Amino acid sequence: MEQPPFHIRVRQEMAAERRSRRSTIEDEPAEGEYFQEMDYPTRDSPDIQVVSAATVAFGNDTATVTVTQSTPFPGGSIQWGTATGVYTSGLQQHKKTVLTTSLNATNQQVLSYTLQFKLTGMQQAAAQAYFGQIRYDDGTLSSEFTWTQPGLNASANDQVFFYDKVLTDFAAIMNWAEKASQAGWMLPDQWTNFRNLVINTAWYNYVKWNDGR
Amino acid sequence: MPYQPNSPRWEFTTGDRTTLKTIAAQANAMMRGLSPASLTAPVKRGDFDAWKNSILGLTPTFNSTGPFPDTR
Repeated sequence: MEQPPFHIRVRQEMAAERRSRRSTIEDEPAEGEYFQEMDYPTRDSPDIQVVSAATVAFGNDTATVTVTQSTPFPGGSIQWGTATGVYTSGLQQHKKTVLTTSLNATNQQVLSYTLQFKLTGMQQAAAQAYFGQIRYDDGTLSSEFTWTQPGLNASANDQVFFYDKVLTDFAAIMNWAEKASQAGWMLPDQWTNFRNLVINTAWYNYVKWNDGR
Repeated sequence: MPYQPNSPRWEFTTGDRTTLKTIAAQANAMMRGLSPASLTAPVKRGDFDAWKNSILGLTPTFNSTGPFPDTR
């Protein structure tokens, strides 16, 4: 028999899963327990157990943390730091779990639920170990995961070249620093802009690295 | 900068004001491609990182209680 289109099969599988769940609830009612029929996890789902471990894939300056499992689980926020149990960059990024599909070994579509965080600005001069944890919306915490981000192989003696566009930033920084030195204060917008200019010089500069890049 | 007697502001300590003066001089050197340390050698990564961190390490105090005297 001809297979229905993929999106129809996905709906059929989800409907079958709902029927199965409903059947379980009706057949084995747990006394005093509240069941909520739902397609997606919500904050009111304390019965969900997160069992899969987070995996981390990293590039030069980014790290992607992914949790995948076959059953729904809550969204959450990620926190991380450079020492175990000490998460100095925390709970700034919140993501919802999304339903995804992939092919298994026999080329069949498999449904799964995925929570993914993309972290940027992770590369340091030397290789750096990071430790992270996910705080799920139901209040549970993942186990700690760790990875080592490769370093730039940079040395303090590397010569630094700047793009021309950075030169105007340097001029503006000089101007603001001189004025602030004389006056002793900056307005809030000026202080924010001043720091952003400094960060810009780091983003736009060109560094001759030890490894020849 | 314009004098705004009632605007909240970030205030620098005497030490921070000295650092800001140094930051300006170092930015001048690096803009010309020279190490702030020697003013003859090229800029090194260590020079740049130290300069950047000296600015990002400033910790002014936020003061929202005006009016403030004109200290320009």
